[in-house]
Amino acid sequence: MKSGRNSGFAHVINVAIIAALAVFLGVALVKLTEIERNMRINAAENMLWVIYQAHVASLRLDSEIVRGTNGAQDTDVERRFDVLVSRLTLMREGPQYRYLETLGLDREFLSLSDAAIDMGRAYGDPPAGGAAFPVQAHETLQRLNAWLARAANAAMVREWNAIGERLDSYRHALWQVLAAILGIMISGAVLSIRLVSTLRRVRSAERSLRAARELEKELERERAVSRFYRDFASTISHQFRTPLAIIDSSMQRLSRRGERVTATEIAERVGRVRTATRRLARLVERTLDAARLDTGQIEVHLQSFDLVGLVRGICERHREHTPGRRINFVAAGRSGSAEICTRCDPVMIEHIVDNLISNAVKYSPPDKPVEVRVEAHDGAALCSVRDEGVGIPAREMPRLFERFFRASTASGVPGTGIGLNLARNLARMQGGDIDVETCEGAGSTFTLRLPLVEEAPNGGSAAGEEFAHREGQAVP
Amino acid sequence: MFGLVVAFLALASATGASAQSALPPPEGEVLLRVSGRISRTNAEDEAHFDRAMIEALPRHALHTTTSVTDGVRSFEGFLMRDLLELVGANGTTITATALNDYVIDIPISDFTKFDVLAAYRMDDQALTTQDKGPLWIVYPRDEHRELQDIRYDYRWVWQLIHIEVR
Repeated sequence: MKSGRNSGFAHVINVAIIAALAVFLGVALVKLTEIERNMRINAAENMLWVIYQAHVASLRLDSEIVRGTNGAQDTDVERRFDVLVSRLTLMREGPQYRYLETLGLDREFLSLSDAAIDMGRAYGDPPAGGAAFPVQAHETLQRLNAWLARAANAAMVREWNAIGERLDSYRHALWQVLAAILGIMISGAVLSIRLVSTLRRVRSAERSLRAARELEKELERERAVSRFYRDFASTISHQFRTPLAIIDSSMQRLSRRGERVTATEIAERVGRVRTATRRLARLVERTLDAARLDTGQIEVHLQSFDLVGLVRGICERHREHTPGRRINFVAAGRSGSAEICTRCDPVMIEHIVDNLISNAVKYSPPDKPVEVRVEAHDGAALCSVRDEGVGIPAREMPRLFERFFRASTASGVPGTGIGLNLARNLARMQGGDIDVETCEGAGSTFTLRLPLVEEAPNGGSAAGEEFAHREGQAVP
Repeated sequence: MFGLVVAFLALASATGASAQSALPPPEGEVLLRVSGRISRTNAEDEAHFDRAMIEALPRHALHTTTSVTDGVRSFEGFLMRDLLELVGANGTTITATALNDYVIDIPISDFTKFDVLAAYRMDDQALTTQDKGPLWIVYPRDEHRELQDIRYDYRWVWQLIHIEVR
């Protein structure tokens, strides 16, 4: 809730900063456009030049007239007069005249220029103005010249003031533009700082999220371990209870009978107790195996080995152990060779195949055969163990290899749920795996898959004895 | 704004035909003298023009504001480039001189880039020497924004009496 309000507030601030940026940019643009527009100078503002030209024309006309009175024949009074009239006419036109109005010199100029133009006309009348003309003309031009000097003075002051004002306005506008640029820089800097700090916050949030996830995973692992030990304790204690009960009841019986106990009875009870003890020993062994696997204490010693010979030996031992069961062994070697060579740890293979055959014997009726088959197929050495027993329900298949998992069809048969899990782990440690095909009520086929190798086995085709001389190297 | 007024005389063809021949001498008062690097003359090294000769050049009209008058004025005269062609000008600049000794250099490129007029009539009135006559160099400032610049304003020479091609 709080963070929601905070982020809303931050959003408003960001929008405000961006708006400020836009405003500053707009002001800068408007002001610069104003400056650009004001930069054009009008020729009419160049009044000083206009007045100067008129003054020069007036002075030259005056001096030409004076030259004429001094007897010069090549005077150019008419042309000088035309030029003066032209200048005066210019000053009586639109922009120039308005300028004189602002100076307050317009009325005086009108009468003075009228007098000058009339004077010129008088000169044009025959005979060239007459005797009084030069004196009158001189006076007229003198008055005009005095006015022009004053006008130039006033125009200069006005123009300089105008230039000053214009420069002031430029300076003012430029200051505004500079202020706007400063604003743009500050807003930009604030925005950048906010961006950087937001990025930093996002990164740190990502980090803590990752840490939280790590922690969660850790917790899940711890939970799994605790669950594991709970399951372990309940499974093991349950499995231990049955043989212990058998031992206890046998001993009770013997002690109750006392002197009356017969040799046959003793032999029978001893047999039961020994079986129960073996079972207990096997249970302890399995449990220790699982613990060793978990703590990484099991090392793999790989070597090239003939799977056919190895599995045949295991089958033979099983036949001796359960004389009533039919355990068929089939080897389908490649053409020309009775051996199927694989890279494996023979001790582990024996453990795995032993477990698979035991399971097949345990979970199928005594009158049904167990078929063990070794073959090479598609670059892999396969050892499959098929029974015609209870099978495994399809919905339980995904959990079949989980530790302590026991199929619902296995209830009533003693077991820890460790064997298959251990077998698959061992198979995978050798670069192999165990797959299963099953049909509930029709039986199961467990297949051990190992990498096939071409080379001849260094240990020959014999099995058991050679296990003591393993030469393989440990797999880290 | 700028319109082509009928060329009253077939002077264009006449100048074409007699490109290298001498100009006819002026009969009336000389209003304009052209000197310098020109190939066609009629008074020693110069080309002199009286009013008839000036008015015989192809006439053009131009409506424009000026910097020294109010409102749009209509001007009538000839194109500066036509005059320069007529006298066989071979230069890059002209120096224009006015009656009051106002002297300004104008690049000839102005006359090729823009339709610059030498006007002898404004608002149907002949320009006189007491105003801005006999000739006033007028730029089409309303048609080209770049001409509305103080650096073009001083090239509007009025009371034009002499052109030197350089």
